Formats: sequence, structure tokens, C-alpha cells
Amino acid sequence: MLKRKFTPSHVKVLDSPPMLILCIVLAVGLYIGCFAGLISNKAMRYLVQIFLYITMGEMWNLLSGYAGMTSLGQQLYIGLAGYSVAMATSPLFGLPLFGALLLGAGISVVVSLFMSLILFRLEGMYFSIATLVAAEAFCMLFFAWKFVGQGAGMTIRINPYPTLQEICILSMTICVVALALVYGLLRTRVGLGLTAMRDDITSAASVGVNIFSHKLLVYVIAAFFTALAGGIFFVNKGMIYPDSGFGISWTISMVFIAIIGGTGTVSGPIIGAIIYVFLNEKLADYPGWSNIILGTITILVILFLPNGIMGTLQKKLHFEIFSSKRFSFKLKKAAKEK
Amino acid sequence: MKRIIALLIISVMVLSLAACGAAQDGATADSKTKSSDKIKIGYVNPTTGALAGNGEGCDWVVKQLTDYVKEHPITVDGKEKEIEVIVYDSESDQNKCSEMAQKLCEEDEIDLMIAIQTPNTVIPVAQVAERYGVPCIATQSPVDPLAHSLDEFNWTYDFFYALDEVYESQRALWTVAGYAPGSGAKVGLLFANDSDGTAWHDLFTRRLAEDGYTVVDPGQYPSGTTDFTNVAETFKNEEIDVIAGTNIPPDFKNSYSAIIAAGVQVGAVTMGKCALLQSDVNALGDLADGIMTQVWWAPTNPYVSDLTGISCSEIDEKYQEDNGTIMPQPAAFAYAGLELAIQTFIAAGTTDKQKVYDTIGTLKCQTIVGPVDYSKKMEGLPYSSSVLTGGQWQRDENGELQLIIIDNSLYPDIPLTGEYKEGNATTAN
Repeated sequence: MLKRKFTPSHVKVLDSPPMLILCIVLAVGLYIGCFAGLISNKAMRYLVQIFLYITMGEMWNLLSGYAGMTSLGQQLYIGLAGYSVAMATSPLFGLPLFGALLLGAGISVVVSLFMSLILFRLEGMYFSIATLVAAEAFCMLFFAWKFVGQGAGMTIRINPYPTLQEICILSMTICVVALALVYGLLRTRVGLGLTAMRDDITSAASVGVNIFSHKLLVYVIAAFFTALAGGIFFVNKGMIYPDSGFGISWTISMVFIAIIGGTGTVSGPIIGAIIYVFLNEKLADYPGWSNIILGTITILVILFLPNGIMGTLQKKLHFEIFSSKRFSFKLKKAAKEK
Repeated sequence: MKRIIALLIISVMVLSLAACGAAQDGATADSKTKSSDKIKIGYVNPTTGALAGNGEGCDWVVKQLTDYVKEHPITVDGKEKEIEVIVYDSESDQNKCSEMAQKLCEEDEIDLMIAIQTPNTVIPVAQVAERYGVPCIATQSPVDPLAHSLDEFNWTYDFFYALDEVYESQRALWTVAGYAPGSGAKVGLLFANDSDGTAWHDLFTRRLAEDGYTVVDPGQYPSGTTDFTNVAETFKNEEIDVIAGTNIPPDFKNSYSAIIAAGVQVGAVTMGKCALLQSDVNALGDLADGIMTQVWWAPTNPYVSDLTGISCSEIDEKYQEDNGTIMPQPAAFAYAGLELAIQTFIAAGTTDKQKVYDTIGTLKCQTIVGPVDYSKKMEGLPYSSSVLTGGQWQRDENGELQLIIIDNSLYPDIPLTGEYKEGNATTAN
């Protein structure tokens, strides 16, 4: 008799103060760990990748999972940022790392505003293909550009070269800011609009959501943070080539992370990125098999957990972490009423 | 209840993040205690992807030399030790090369890095080794692109040819084919827009002009291009005599087919990379007929390894016994790279990184691919030149393509195995 029938409004939203406090404690703990040198270099190497992939995955998720813009060309901003960092920090310009990263992100924002003029005329598959083509076009441009070494690529010559600890702190900061921004954004009026767009774009438009401005905002934010993450990635690698900067493999990673974790959820890409980084590292011991195993996992997840890990857990257990919903007590009230 | 479950999940996330450090530490500590008796050598190999042909034979070579050291342990820091070669696949992807090299330096705590198999692999791996301060033996990457990639090298030594030497080796082949310097022959260039192609292109255009050749340069193209109509048209209009370049097999196949289809006829074709491996050449089929290429190693070379005492012909026989094919040239260099690593530890008698690095520079020994002496320097990179001869792919009596050494003007000690034969796929019809 007391068997409850859950409706979406009965979903428990775990954003209560203890939850937020836990997140803050975790972030502060990691910061202290990094600053005080309590975390080993080996762990930091993993953490750098996890933080950067969370940022990228979260941004792709914001684009595809919320705004319905399935971009296959986010590597455009990764490549632009990587090259900006390589050029700006070269002895010729001698910018400090932080300035170079912001410059790369700034250039990406400008390019994304320009690209939006062209890309936003297209929708669905056409949009996806156009983003991919745009990234390829930039790749060709850098292949032909003598100043950046053409296909021979550029070595990043920052002096003194940032330590892994500095890179780790930087990537964690970007990840925290990106997560806070996405979380905050989704809880504003814009977030409501985006959630409405995620569920049904036509209905959202009909109730007054300004589709163009929402899309533009999300696209520019995604370009900015993807560029920051990409810039740090290349600082960590030390080299950039046109095909490593503008390669489709970046988007494949982002899609994998978002799909495995759960598109349309804020917590999904976090889980996705952790799984991706660990798989990537552990599969290095099986040369030739790593991509087959990654592909098989993706297919299995799509078949059996179509909402991703977090999406499925949320559905089954009726809770949400980092939810865009601002109510969570309906269930209790409903139970009490009964 | 659900809140508890959710909190549990979050805690698992937190713990997994936090524990990854500890777990890694633990794992390494474990393997450290287990393999403290072993010297760790890192090796990033293109096992899969576009460069997989170059990575062929790596496992075999690693087994040969680890087995050798098992029987003849090296005395390091007063203890007898074996070697452990940790090989990761680069998937022929430069991003992956850096990642795997970092993994070797940070996680596996290697004592020495081997950077091998084309500049695409060598440059990112050597770059990581420089950053982490790990001694690095680079080989099988022309000196020039590696030397240009950093201002100074504090941990890397390269063992391969400089591009000037490869130019001279190709020039010797054109001379054999009747296009000597000063003949005014028109040389058409085929270079992809990658690390290798760019370095070769710049040097070839300069040196060809100096030697009195006419350079016909249709421009570099991104690797993977399929439409070579403009290249073929340029070559046809300019009526070139010689095609020179370096290309991976798909690029060469596409460009050469377009050139033949356009009716271009040339007297000599010299090509790097795609004419290196028997398997690649067999796949090219008739296109490979008569192609000339620089040869870094052949089973007929007269060298004997100072370390293992094996000769070129013996190692080739052994390889053929186990793998059924002739030993690929890159595999011989993989063997030489590991030989150098072992010689270094024998001479250094320690795993102290600075001492190991200093010892590499003092090595003077013979490997399976020839003598090593790191006395040359290009920009900030110390290097040792490897030997080069000129070869041509010719069909034997059974119709099989064989690499025949037709020129040894740069290293006369290396025996010739045949003579130049006129004709190639452009003149076949």
C-alpha cells in the first residue's frame, strides 16, 4: 500500500549542505596534498589527466547533453590553445605560462564566436559534420604554416619548464572552476532553459527559451574551457603537431567519457573521465588491444546502460548529484502526507 | 537510505581518486622490490598504426638481449643484475608517445630510455626524457629533425645518419643511374608534410641546387593525401628525370600511381621509408620494381656485435628461423639500440643517471649495424653517424623482389651484392 510510485519530481537531489561540504573538503584536501607534496608524482600524473579530461568531458556534455549540439570538432580549440601556448611561450614572445594559456583561451573564444556565425545555421548531423570539417580545415592551415614548423610541429620551450606539481594544481583549478560554473549555470534561469532544450528543443523554443543565445553561450564557454584544458595538456606533453592538436581522437575521448559517465548529467563526465584515464593507463600493457577493449566497453555501455553509469544509477536509485533541480524534499513531504 | 547510497558512491569516487596515488605507490614499491635486481630500460614502440612496419620484430629483439643478459648478468652498483625492457605501444600517435614516455619515467622509474623508430616517435620520447632527466639513447631517427626540436640536449645521444649523408647516398644512386651532379638533371621532389618530410625537403632543395640539379618542387602534402593530380601534372610539364623523396607506403602508392597514370617517365626513383621493408615492398608489387633507396643495414654487412659476438648474417638467419622473414632494417637498429644500452651499463657500472649519461658519450664499440662513436655534434645534439649504402629493389629469378646493394661509395667496406639495373614502374609500359 505504501509502495511509492516515483515521478521525476520525486527524485532526490543530493545537493544538501553536507554534500557540498564534502566536495569542498575533497577539493581543499587535494590542493593541500598537491601544495604540500603529499601526493606522489605518479598519482599527480593520473590526477592531471583526470582533471583535464573531466573539464573536456564536462564541456562536451554541456554542448551535446544539454544544448543538443553534438560537436565532433572540439579539438579545434585544443589545437588552437596548444599552438598558442607553444608560440607565446617561445623565446620569440616569451610570455609566461599563465598568460599564454589565457591567450590561447581568448583566441579560442574569438574563433568560436566567428565559427558560431557559420555553424549555428546548421543543426543535427549537419552541425556535427561542419564542426569536424572546421577542425580539419584548421589542421590543414597549421600543416601549411611555416612559422609553426608545418608538419614537423613545435616543441614547447617554456623556461623554466613548469613542474608536474604546478601543472597538477593548474589543471585542478581549471577543473574546479569548470565544474562550479557548469553547476552554477545549470541552476540559473539559463540552466532551466538548457535542461528544457535537452528534453525537447522545439517545446523549449515554444515556451520562450531563446535557443540561439543559449547555444552561443554554451558554445563559447565550452570553447574557453576546452582550450584551457588543451593548453595544459600540451604543456604536459611538451610537443605539438597539427595532427596531434587537431586530431579527432580528442573528440573520441570526450564522447567516450560523456557516454560512459552519462550524458546530460553533471556527475557523469567525472566518473567517465576517471574510468577513461585508468583504462587508458592499464591498457597500455596490452599493445594493439587497447582500442578494441575501449570500443567494446563503449558498445556494452550503450547497449546495457544507455544513460551511462551515472544516468542509470540516478534512474534506478532516484537521486541526483550536482543536479540542476532546486527541489529535493517532495518525496518526504509526499510520504508524510500519506 | 538513498542519500547514504549516494554518499557511498561519492566516497568511492573520492577514495578512488585519493587511493590512486597510494595504489600506484604501492604497486611501484612492490615491483621495485621484485625487480630491484633488474636494470629498467624504457622503450616506446609503434606496434600498431601507420608505423607498425617499423616496429616489427621489437619483441624478438627484446627477448634476444634480455636472454643474453640473463646468461651474462651485468655488475651494477656491486650487484649482478638482469635487464628488464618495458615496451609500450605508441599506436603511431605522437600524443601517445609522450604519454607512454611519461609513464615510463614516472611510474616505471626506468634507468634509461630508448627512443627509436622515425622522428615521429623519437622526438616526443626524447623530449620527455630530457624533461625528466632520464638518459636517452635515440636511434633510427635522422639527426637533423631531432637536433632542431630542442635548443640543447642534456640527456640524449642519437645514433643514425645526418640528412646530408642520406642526400649524398641518394646522389650516389642518381650518379649510378646516369644523373651525376652537374648533369642538369631535373629532380622532382615527393615529400610529405611531417617531421621527416620537412627536414628532408629543406635540405634536398638546398643541396640539389648546389650540385647543379634543377629542382622541381610541387610542394609538400599532408600525409594521407589521396589526390596527387597536381603533383603528377607538375612532373609531366617539367619533364623530370629523377624522383626523390621519403614517404610512408600509402602516400608513395597514391602519388606514384598518379604520376605513372599521367605518363611521366623517369630514369631513377630514390625513395626512403616505403622501400625499407620487404613486406611494404611486396605490398607495392610492380610499383616497387627498380626503386632505389638508402640502406642502413643488410644481412651481408660485415659487422659483428662486440657485445654478443653475433654477425649480421647470423642474426638474420636466427630471425628467419623464428619469424620466417628476412630481418627488417629497423629491427637491426632496435637490436643495436639495446646493445648500446647494455654496453652503457657494463661500462658505467652504476644506474646513477648522470654517470650513465656521461658513459653513453664515451662508448666506442661495434654494434650489429656498425661502429658507434658519439664525437659529432649537430646544434645541441651529440650523435654518431651510422653507415649508409645504396640499394635497388630488383626481381630475382623467381620473380621475388630483393634489395640489392648497388652502391657503397660512402662506406667501401660494405660489400656490393649486385649491379644497377635500368628501368622502373614509370618506364615499364
